[in-house]
Amino acid sequence: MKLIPFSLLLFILFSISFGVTDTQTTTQDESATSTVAPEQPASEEADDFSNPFTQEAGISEEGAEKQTIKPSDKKEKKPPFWYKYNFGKKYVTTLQKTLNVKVSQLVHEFKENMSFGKAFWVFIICFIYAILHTGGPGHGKLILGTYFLTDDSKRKKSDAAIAGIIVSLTHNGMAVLLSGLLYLFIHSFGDQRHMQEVAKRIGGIFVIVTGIVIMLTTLFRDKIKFFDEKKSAEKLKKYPLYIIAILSGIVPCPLAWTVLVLCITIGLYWLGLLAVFGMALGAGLTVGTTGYIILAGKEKLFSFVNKDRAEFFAHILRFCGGLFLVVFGYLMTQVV
Amino acid sequence: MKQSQLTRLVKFGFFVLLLTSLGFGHAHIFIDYKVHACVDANGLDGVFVNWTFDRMFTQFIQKEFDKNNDQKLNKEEQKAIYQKFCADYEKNEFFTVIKVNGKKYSVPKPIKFSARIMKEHETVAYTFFLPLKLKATKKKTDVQVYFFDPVIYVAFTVMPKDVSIQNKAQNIQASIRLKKVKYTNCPTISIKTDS
Repeated sequence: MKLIPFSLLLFILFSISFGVTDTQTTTQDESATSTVAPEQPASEEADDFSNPFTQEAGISEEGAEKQTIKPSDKKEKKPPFWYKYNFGKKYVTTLQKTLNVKVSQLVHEFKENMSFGKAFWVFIICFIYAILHTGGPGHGKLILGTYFLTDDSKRKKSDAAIAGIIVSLTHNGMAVLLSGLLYLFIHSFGDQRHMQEVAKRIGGIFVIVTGIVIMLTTLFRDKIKFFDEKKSAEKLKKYPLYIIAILSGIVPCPLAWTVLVLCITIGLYWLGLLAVFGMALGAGLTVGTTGYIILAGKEKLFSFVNKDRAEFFAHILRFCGGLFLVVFGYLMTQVV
Repeated sequence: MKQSQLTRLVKFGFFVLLLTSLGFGHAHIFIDYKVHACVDANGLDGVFVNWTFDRMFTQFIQKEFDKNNDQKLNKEEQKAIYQKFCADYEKNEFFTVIKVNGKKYSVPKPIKFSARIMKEHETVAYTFFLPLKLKATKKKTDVQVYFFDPVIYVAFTVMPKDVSIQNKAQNIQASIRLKKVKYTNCPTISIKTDS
């Protein structure tokens, strides 16, 4: 029942997006046909075409003008097969684009007219933006979700909220830390995508190690006395969750990075931090809710299973979760 | 199964669906693009492309490349952008897909590159030419040139009004239209000779 307000909020946001200009997948098929009659006698020179957008000659690499294209054996990179069945994607992308423009507008307006109201709206819009944005791939949901699904200690629902906040604070904090350090020391924000790739690779290695540890402790559980001692296990059960939460958020959030760059470039450092804080809260809400759903779903799943078999299922689930983390971690290290 | 359990299951399913919907709207950079095809006596010479970045990413480009902070990109600054742009193109073809009659083709290096700051919208736009040099034949040839990031890190948008064509040949019929492929819209150029 607690999920209803959150669902309502998302539903409202979706509804708003219907009125916004379409983005990634406009539905007009073959709608823009323009056939142009020949203008003048044929010319062999490519240079005769003037740039319709700038009228400038532009810069070219030497010899590049004589390139020809050939059939390629390179495989086309395609999105996963379910992408085309994901009917919400264009609305979500559109809405995110609208929010992106809105944040940028508000930040510029704030520079012109500094007021508490404008700063508040930057915070709110960033909060909403992050709720939606964090719903996308990444942001630690999968790793954390897998951990919740496979972890056999009894967890409170509040653990999901705490983990969500830790993930989002680490995720956004890393963006602040990295962009701050880069700006301070080399006066550049570097290549966000490259930084993300590096962080993903490091994070991927940690995730592989975590997956292996989960698999080994499941297989050799009886031989490891440490796990049978109730007190120690109770004391220690929170630490792996915190570690997993930090690992999940270790890849810096590119969106927070971009918002921060926007604010820093126009000299509004504090507004940048406020915006990122709003984003961290929004991201925490989505990640926490995902964790909550998984914990609740897991409870429901086990309520249908015979109690004698529940332990066996828990072991299988835990092992599969570990295996999944190893595979997922490997994929993280293979990013291009 | 009891009524309450069913209700809960439906709610859970609704939520999973909602989260899945969100799953692929995950853009960090938004680029609106335009395509202008150029046809000469031999066939399709190439396409001029215009990318307009969102305002937020524009700040990043300005900070990185507008070294003298004059809100303009001079030749030297444009050269620096071009070098970075070409390096990205070599690495991952910068999300460019070229298909001739459905078959994938190699992506040429962009030439005639220019970058400018458009003050009215406070955005940065890149313009470049992709030389294709495809000969027209009696049989109709469909050439698709579009931009798509499979992980939607960059969201490319093209609208019907953003495709155009310039035909300098007397003997070639040429047209451009926006065609919907499985996951995006793509400007499609059709060329064929009269005789």
